[in-house]
Amino acid sequence: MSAAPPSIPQRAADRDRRAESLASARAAYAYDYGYQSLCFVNELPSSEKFSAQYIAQGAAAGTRLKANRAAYAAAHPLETKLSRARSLSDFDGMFPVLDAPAVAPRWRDDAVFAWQRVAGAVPGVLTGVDRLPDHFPVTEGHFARALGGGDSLAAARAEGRLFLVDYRVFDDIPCGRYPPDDDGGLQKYLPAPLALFCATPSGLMPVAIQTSQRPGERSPVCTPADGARWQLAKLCVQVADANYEGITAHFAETHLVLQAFIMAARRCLAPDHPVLRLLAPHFEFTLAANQYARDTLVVVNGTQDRILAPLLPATHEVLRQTLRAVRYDDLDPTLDAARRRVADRGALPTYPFRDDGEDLWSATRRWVEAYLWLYYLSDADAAGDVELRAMVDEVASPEGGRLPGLVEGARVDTRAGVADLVARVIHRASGHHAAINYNWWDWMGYAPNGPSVAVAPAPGSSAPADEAALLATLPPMGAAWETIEQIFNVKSIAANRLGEYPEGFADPRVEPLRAAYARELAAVEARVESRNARRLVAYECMRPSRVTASINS
Amino acid sequence: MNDPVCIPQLDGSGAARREGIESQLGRYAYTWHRPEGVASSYAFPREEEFTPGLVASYALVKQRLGAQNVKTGASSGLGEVKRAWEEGDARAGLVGAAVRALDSVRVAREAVEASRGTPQVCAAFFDGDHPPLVRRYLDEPALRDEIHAWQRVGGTNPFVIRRAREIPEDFAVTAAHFARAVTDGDSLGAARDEGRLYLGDWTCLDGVVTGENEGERKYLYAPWALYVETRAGKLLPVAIQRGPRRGEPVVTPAEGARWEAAKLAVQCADTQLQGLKFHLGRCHFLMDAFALATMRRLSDRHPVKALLRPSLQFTLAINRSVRDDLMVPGSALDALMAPTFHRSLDIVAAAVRDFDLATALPPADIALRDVGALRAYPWRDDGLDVWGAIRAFVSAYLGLYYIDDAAVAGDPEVAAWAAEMASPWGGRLRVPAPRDRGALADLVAYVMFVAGPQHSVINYGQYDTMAFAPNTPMALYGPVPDEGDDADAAVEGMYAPAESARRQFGFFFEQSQLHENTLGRYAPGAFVDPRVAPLVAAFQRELDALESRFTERNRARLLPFPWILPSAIRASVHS
Repeated sequence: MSAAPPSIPQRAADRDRRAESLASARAAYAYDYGYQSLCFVNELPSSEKFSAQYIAQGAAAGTRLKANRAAYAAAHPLETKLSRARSLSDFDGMFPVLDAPAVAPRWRDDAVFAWQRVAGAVPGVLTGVDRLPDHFPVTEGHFARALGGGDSLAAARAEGRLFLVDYRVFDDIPCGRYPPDDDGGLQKYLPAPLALFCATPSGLMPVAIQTSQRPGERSPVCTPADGARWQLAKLCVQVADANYEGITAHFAETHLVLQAFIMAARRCLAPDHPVLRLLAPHFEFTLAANQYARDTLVVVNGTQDRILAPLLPATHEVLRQTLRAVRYDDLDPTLDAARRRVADRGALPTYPFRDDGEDLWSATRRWVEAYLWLYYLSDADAAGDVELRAMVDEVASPEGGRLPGLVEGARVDTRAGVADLVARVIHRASGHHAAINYNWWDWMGYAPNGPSVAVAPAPGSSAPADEAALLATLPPMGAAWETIEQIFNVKSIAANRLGEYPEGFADPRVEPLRAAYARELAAVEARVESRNARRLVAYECMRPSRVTASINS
Repeated sequence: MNDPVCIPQLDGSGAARREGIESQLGRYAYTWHRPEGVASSYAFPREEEFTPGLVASYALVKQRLGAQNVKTGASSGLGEVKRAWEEGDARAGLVGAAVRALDSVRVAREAVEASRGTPQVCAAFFDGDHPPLVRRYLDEPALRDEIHAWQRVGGTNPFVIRRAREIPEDFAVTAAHFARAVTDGDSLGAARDEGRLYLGDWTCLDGVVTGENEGERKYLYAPWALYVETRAGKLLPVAIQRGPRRGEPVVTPAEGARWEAAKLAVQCADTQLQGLKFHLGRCHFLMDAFALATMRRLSDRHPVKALLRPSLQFTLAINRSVRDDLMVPGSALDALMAPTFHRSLDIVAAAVRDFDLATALPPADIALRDVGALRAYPWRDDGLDVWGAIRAFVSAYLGLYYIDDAAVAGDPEVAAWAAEMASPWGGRLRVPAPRDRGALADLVAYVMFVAGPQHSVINYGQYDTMAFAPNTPMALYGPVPDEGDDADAAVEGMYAPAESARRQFGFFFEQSQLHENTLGRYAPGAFVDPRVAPLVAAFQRELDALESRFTERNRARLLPFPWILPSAIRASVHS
């Protein structure tokens, strides 16, 4: 880091030098769209590469995985990739060395199923509804069977206590095989279910599931009263959720969203720009992690081709569509909760992702504002910042990030607008990503709870639904292992921590502000801990001490 | 045993048939990534690949082009550069000599870089005779306006012109402009009242960002051009406005070099639509989506597949190459077309997205553009004749298998085929499911028509009309001059650098050389059903008759329109 204090472009001391450094940044961070029309960096600058420390962390995780696998293999010498579990306990045996994911003992509970909508691996899909879609015909009868007397669909609707998850993005999506390169492999299936939940005095509870977007004999509305069929219906939701994690909520909505901001910021903001100085620690290793993902995960026969259900080009299409659909306001957790109609604490009192996320967000927003006010003395300073304007434009530009929605409505002509932009980028890179990344293992490291590979379709109303059908749907052991390895690796790497700026700031005025931020984060930590004591399952991934500053795994 | 070719409702071995389709579904797959959102192939089986013979032919074309470039390069001064480079390479071991060689290369290169692809320079790229349009362009300068207008109706992009009952409000052409352009006593009011005004509209290109090539900025305009059909029946340009905003200057043929510049702006805009919208979008990628749905959803025993297979030969292979070799940064498309790489692909994507079968059928298209009254319109006249022949053949052929409309409505493979063409996980085309024999015949005939005559005109006419960059600039390299500017210098500055003009020549030369199949000429055994042979024979007789008719028409035309002569119509998109 250069020692000179930062400056906005209109106050730059040496404009020629600044222009030169921008020109060389633009050359170093050239766009490459050759991969699936997604925007990557053409050649990873050496300053963006993984550090030795980072690589060591990854290697340590790999060693533990190997030990775990070796211990298992000794007891299961005949197992092949396509071996099927003979009983559910076969999946419990996959953790001879590693700690088993927290969900393992309780995965069949309806309350735990519902909990995953508000504190699971994909906590940001739940949406409040005041009327159900016409193609999801849940009746009072279903509601009564699900929750018993005393409450009703009409009352819940009137009180804003109905919530929906909808995986229509997977409707009719073409699926691949496991393994993809093996004609003798197994066909994968990906349902596109709808599930209705109701907030009750004992917490959020599931009401009904329909395993496809088309009502009828092949995907009837199921309720918790349907026994084994209900278990299978929940599994359909979890399969969709696991794929949603891998494609949409994680890679597209965090990694690739940040990538667009990083590329634009690196290319448009001079190294001396106060915004880039603040953001740089939140960009650490993200480009490297994304290049790695591009070259090993999202490729033919790569991890995503193997352990996600869609045919690879369909996975890519969902990635693109998801990215195009992310809106600037989605990056602000309070606005996101309002859009999804889950902001009302009266109707939905317990929502760890929302509650801890908003605490993190407001601490970060205040810190960003305090920092930026050192450099933007008025709104005129913001309006005159041509570099920041160029950065926003480049995210949207067809020749840049190609994501107009991602900056739609960004107001960088006021100081508050600049603070919003910067805080949103930081929150997406830190708290939001942590909720998706570091909570994954606890819920989806255990195959029966959330397998991304399902090898039987959802049963229609006439097909038998029993424990055997459940086993027939769950992944072959090879896919379960590959999933465990992927998720364990991802959760084991944490290269930095929110609120820590190890390289410090050249401007001495920053330190007291940073210290105040650290104190605020400590207060958030305390609040989260006290909330955790009352929660069905402690929500650890958004505790500030667990949140990474950047997307690095 | 059942008939080997039959509709699924009548197939006694339905299970085997469904199994065959299942296996097709595993061998052909879609992707939608480039251009973004447009369906193309992710996977297809070996039998869809180019034959080794075709690969060899393509290599030969490249070789011929190389030889030709060396030969013609000498006569335009570029050969010296090439030789200097070669000498530089040969002496690379000797530092001093290499430095001297490189220096001579630098001097020679600078001379070439300074030179523009003017008509004179580009004329020298042709080895041997010039194509008719280029010859008349060079030999008869007085005819250039007429040749300009002719390309709206008889060039490689005859799909844009439409009758102007009213002139767009922001196109500020007045009676005075008209009087300057047309001096035979005609008037704007009379021409409009008599329905003799025609509009060329390229304003859809407004706002398209342009790229750079060889370190030079490229320019592109989004003009309107007004044409009149004179009382003598000649189509002539009247006025050009460079963009769709009122207040932009209206230029007429009376403006000398400014007029030449305005025509260049029109021709450049037209070249974008020819290449990106109509060629890549409405031929190549449209046919790719049809090919995938056809190969996946129709059984090999389905009569529609038997009929369409020759029209889809090598289409998946050529389009994979278009997508992976041409639609990449640094390609000829990136270097030569005016828009930035992304904007070029966006135009292709929009062309496919906005496609609507209902308005694309040739008679509907002619009616929509209101061009039935034009006296000379080779594409319309010959095109509708070929459409009629194809449509009649398809209708007779389908009649062998569908005894009534209910048979079409009840064909589950046709339903799945059409559904997949329209599906977001399939072709994403605006194609309704055919519910009766007429609709099915329209759809099938349309595929044959686009893969055949429409693509032949677009593709194989390119060498004759578009290899010559001053006629059809793929990009402009300077702005259109304003009043008071040195217009002659500006026109010179609009021409491509000579090297790029040569690259354009090669680009269109290569594309026009591969001729693998011919409409209506079927390989032995293409149809196993013996009832088809007499229908094919009748189709061929009709095409032969059209050959004579078109040849006759060509004699009377300003320029021949040879690419739609039935003997020149390639059955499939493969080049």
